[in-house]
Amino acid sequence: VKNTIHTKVIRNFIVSILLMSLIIIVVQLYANRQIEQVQAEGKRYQEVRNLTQKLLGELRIAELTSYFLLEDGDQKQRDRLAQRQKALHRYYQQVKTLLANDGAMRAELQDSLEPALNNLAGLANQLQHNQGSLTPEQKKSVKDRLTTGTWDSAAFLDKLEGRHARAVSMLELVTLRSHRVRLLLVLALTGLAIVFGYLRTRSITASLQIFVKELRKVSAGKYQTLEEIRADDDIGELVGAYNQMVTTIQGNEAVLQDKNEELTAQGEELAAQNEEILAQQEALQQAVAHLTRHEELLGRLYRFSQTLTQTMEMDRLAELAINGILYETESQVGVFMLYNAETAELEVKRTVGLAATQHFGLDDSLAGRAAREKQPLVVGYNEGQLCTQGLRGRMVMASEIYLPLVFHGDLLGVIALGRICKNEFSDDEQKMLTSLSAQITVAVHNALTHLQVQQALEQVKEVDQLKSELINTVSHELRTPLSSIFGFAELLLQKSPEAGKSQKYLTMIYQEARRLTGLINDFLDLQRIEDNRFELVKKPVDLAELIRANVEVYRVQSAKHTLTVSVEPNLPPINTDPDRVARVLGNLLSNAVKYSPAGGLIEITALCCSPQEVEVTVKDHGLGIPAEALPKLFHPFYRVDNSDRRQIGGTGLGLALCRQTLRALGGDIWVRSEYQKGSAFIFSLPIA
Amino acid sequence: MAKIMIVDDEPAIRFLITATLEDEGYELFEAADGREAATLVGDVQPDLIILDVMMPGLTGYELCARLKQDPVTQGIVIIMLTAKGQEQDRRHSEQAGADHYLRKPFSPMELSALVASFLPKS
Repeated sequence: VKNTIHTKVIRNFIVSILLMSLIIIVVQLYANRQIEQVQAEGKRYQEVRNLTQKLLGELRIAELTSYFLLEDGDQKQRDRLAQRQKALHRYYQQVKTLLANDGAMRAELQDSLEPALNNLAGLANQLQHNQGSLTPEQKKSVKDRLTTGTWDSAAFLDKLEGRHARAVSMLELVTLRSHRVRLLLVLALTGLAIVFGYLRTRSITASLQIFVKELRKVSAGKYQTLEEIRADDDIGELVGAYNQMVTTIQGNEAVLQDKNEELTAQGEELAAQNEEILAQQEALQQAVAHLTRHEELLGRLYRFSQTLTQTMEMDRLAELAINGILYETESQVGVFMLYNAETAELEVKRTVGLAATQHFGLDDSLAGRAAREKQPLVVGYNEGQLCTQGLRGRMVMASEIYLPLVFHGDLLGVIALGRICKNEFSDDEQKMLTSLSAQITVAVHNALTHLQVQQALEQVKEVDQLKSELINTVSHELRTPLSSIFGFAELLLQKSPEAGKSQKYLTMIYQEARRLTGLINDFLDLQRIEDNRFELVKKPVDLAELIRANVEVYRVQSAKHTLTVSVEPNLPPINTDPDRVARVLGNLLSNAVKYSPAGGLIEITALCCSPQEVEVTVKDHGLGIPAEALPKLFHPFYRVDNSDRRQIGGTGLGLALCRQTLRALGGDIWVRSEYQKGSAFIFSLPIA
Repeated sequence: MAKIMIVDDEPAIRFLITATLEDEGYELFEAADGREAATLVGDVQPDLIILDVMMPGLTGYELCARLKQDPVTQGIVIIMLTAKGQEQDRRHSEQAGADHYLRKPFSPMELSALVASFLPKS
């Protein structure tokens, strides 16, 4: 049979039962024997008493018999006495036997009964032999002795009664005690059995508890083989199996560990991959966000460029650009400045939210700095640092940005934006603003180009119109003298007029033919200058001499006018073409005479204004030139359009020719005039 | 005696026309530009006007149109003298209401015949 816990417990149980039964039996036996002993003793006393009572009865009978015998001795009586005596003796011997083990009682028995018996035996014997021969005294002593013996045996019986009673009470006592002892014994043994059972059970389950404890550890994750539990029962087997399991598990665990490490490695790899994917995803998201921003930016740019393409006109463009850029960037203040290369200033074309409209130099402002550096300039102001008087009252600028408009390296202008609120222009916004300003730059460039083209076109148109007018004018100017020549010739031929008239007609023909020739010469000269086919013959010229000679001609022609000449004394000879200069001077003198029809003073002055140049002025006090006519005065065929002047003949080519001639000679001509008060034409010539 | 007014800013042309018509039995008047002519018309009440186109101030066409719109003066015969020699001269002349036009340079004999065709000789 295997040593299982089951069998162990059963065995334990059986042993405990057996042990307890054995103990109970032993205790029972012991107790019974004691009781029996006490009962036997009681019984003996009972018999002793019974015998003693019989003995006592016999003794009385014997006594009585003896008494009778003493009085009338009959044979029969004597035989009876003898019989009694024998019975007494038998009884006595029986009691004596019964009390064989009780020395004290036997001694007492002997003391109490033996004398009586011996006395009786002696009497009987005497009576047998000496019947009637006894004196009274003898009779009395025998009687006394008989009575004493009876008393003694009665006393013994009493003693025996006491002994019996004592034995009975002793039995009761012993019985009672034996019950108690049995109860105590049973209790004690039961406790003992329980303790034994507990200890045994504990020893059986101790290994189990250790095992359970170990298993708990396992459940907590720390399992190991259980070397300390060496049980021979199924727990041992269990431990063996467990250990094997642990070994297997440990083996598995090692495998698992390896697997786990492998998995961890894979996991790490996956994590790395995941991270990479996440990074890619993030990059993608950023790219998408970037694209979205880009798209939005493109949308804005598109919208903005659409706005900008609405016009080619600069003022309107400035308005659209500044409003558009303010809208797109949520700025409140904007200034649109165009760069004027001639004045080297930034001219404010348009402002929003700002009252100031002064122009900026390139050195004295932030706008100028941005323009100079051709780089956007971002300025963040501390609150309250920059205040400006805006359209909506006083405003505090939070930040400003200056965007130079640079087209292929050329500065076109600057756009300045300001924000009242705190946020500054972010990098993204700056990028967007750069794009927007690039668009504005293109638009501004286009507008400027458009303007230039328009101006050029207008110039071309003007030139065209001038040319058309020129042709008309030339046609008209040629037809008028031709009409005279043609008409008077026809009159001469057809009408054969009288001599006086013929002379007049011929003079007219001659004058008009000369006029026609002069006209054609002027025109051809002008054409030659314009075509650079103008031949100059330069030589040292005494300007004073030249002036005086020409003035003399006009002085003779017009009696109404007073011509004065003042020439700087030490005027050096100048290297120039004297014929051309003479024609210029002649033209100016002719005009001075013509356009001061009422006569008056004509002043001619010549002076050295610098070591390189001389200036000649021809000043009249005539009709003067209206201010609006001054710019076109030197254009070919231009004639101041009023009737006063129209009365005065002219081709409109004179001043144009003068200017072209002088420019060809390295000089120039200009005019100072006041309407109705006279004109002063000044021309310059280089000395060398 | 029929009255003829000669309006031209060129003295040479005025002289030529005067020389052409002076012996033909007309009373001749001269004006140097449009404004002068406009004021003179009321005083002279001419039968015929020889009117130059290219004049400063009031041009020949403007004066012609003005006279032709005025009921008092619209009966005056107007001969335009044009110098431009272009097709539009004729159109402008017609638009202005001129009765005839001559292109410069013109033939004095032709002008004389033209004037005679408009004015019956007294």
